[in-house]
Amino acid sequence: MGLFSKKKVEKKVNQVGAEEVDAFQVIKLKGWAAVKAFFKSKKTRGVIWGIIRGVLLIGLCWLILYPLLVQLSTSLKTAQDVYDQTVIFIPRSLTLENYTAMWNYVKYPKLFMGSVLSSLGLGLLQMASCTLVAYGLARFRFKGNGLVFFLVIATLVVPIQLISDAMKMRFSNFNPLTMFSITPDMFNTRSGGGIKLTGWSIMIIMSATCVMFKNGLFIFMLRQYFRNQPKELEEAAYIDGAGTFRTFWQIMLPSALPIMVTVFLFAFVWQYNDTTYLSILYPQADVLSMKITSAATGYVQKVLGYDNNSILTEVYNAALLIMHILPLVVLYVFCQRFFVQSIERSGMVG
Amino acid sequence: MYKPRKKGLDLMTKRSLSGWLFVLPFLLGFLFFVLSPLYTSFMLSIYSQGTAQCTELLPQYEYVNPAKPSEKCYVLELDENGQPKTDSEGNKIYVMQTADKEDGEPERLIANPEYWVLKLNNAGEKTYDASGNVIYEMENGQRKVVTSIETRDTLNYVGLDNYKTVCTEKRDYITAVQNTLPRLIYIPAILVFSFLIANVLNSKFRGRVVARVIFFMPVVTATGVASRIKEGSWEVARFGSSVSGAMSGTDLDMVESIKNILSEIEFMSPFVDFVTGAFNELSNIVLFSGVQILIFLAALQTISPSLFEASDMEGATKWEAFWKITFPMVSPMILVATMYTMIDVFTGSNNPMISYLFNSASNTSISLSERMAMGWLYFLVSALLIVIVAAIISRFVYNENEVVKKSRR
Repeated sequence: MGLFSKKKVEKKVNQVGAEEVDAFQVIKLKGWAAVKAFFKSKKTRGVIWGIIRGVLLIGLCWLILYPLLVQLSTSLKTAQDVYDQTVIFIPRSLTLENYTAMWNYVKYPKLFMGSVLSSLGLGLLQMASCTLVAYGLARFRFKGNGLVFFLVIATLVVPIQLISDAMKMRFSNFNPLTMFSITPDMFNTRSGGGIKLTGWSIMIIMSATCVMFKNGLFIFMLRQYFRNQPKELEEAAYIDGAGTFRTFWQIMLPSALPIMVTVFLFAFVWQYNDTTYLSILYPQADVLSMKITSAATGYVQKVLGYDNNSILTEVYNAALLIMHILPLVVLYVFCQRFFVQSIERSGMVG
Repeated sequence: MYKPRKKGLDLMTKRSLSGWLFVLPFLLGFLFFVLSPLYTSFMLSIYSQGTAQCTELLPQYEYVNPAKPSEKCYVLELDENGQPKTDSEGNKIYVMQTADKEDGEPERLIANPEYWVLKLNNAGEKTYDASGNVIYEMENGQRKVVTSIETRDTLNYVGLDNYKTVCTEKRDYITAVQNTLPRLIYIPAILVFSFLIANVLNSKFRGRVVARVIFFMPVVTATGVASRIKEGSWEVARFGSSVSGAMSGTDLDMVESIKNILSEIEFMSPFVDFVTGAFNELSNIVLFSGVQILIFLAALQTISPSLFEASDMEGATKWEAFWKITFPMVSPMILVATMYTMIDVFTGSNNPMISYLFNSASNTSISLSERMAMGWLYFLVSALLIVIVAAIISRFVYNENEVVKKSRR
């Protein structure tokens, strides 16, 4: 409004009434002033802001989806189409051959079942143990509560790659009594009288004790949730004679189910995609994430007999990646509510 | 009349005990699967691993005193587990067994190559017994012993030598550090980006649900093995462009095509690398900021609209409202998001340093101790940075409860 002189405005207000001044002025003004007024009006600003926002969001969404789309289109191409520069996104002849070849080569159903079952089991275990720990941290005042919580956050900062060698050494000869002894004997896998922890057993133990991938984050989310629950719920239960564990099980758990589902989904997805922990603790595992990294190269070299055909490898790799990621994307689309509302639900903020 | 409870613990002790019981799983896990490996790897970094040859003395017949066999012989000293005891250098300890033990401490013999010398034949070569063991004898030549030699691992304390070696001599490590340093820019970039996007997504427009779903998708599709999707897609694209070369107009790769467009414009050519680099980094930043966007969105949605209405009535501009209302109200979450981002950037498996550490396990030119020193150095620096930044930010965080308390006083 600063654009117009005070006198002019007052005159117009007298003529037509205050509500119509804005529109009236835009129509009546001419030349540069009209242009300026046009850009100053609320409606135009809204439209411009909408356009900027639209372009920004669509561009960024494209940036996120682009790699997926490239892999999808590559996986549907024949080798000929990949070489052909005029074929950009949509292959000239759609083919599912890459998929069938990889399906049979890696024995997909078996690997997929392995992946799903292991992630399901480990995810549930992580969810259960993290819930227990988070409840303990949120609802009980004991000396050292703060320290334990600090340790929970500290575990997030320790990169597993730093401790992987020591872990392997300790687990090949696991003896709780000698976990902190530094002797030359610890390199010797035979002596010491410990148990050899391998494969899923170690993954299960680590899941049950909340030290798998980003479990500190899960504990943090769940703790925030429990902290924000009203105290009266528990107090009422105690007065009615319920014990600590009954209160937890019958009063606190049912209401925490949505956030637990969220934690489980995170644990499931990250376990399903995991290669870091598996390659340290169980490299031979029969799961998709471990097998698909080398399967395409193996197929091109062993079955097709090429020495090093990078373009074919890429095509098969794309098919494998899509086969790996598709179930996750479907899961994500159906459960997006739990992912997207995860942090709101945890009450981390309020 | 008040009667003190006779049985059981009082309520407070009971509560705190059940608290400990709830957190027990984590404590066990932390002790055995985090603290123990951390401690072990640290000790390994200040020790150097080596090997030494030790003689293993076969106890049944070698140590029998030839003069009086029934009187004296050396036998292995065993610990509680029935395993042979060793000294600090890994040599097995033998104890002399005597007929009369009243003398007190049994005479100890540490089987060390120094005590024994090779029995050489006339040609000056080693001599072997029937089963292929090297024959040794005492220096004074009184006793002949048959021993076998085994190589054992040893640990020698070297202090900070490994750290010095790593910092001065390991070129790869220094390169990895140099590659990791630019990643520090990711931290503010991710925070600013996710904060902006959260503000955009918080306004009402059509399709915001879809946008939110897509922005959070990288959490599902860009972790672990799935992160190969992005790398793979650039690879395919790059291969495509190198096949044709001349036909750069139909380039598949976005980065390449931007590069081409920019290098066409003459005065822009110095900025080509910068712009394409920034573009590449941007896609990384977008993939990293899913969780942070959610954190900020959740924070923005808890701000009561009445605050904005009031400020509007008082004549504040939107800009002022942003700095005086939105920013302070969101500031606690800035701390959380910063911590999350720093941890994610420092420990993520796509970090150059982390992947270097991971790959160095199969590199034979780097010893275990050196690798541990590399890891610890990185861990210490990153942990220190996180603590410092967290301390600084938490000073500026606006805490509503605290302010209310103060004003009540």
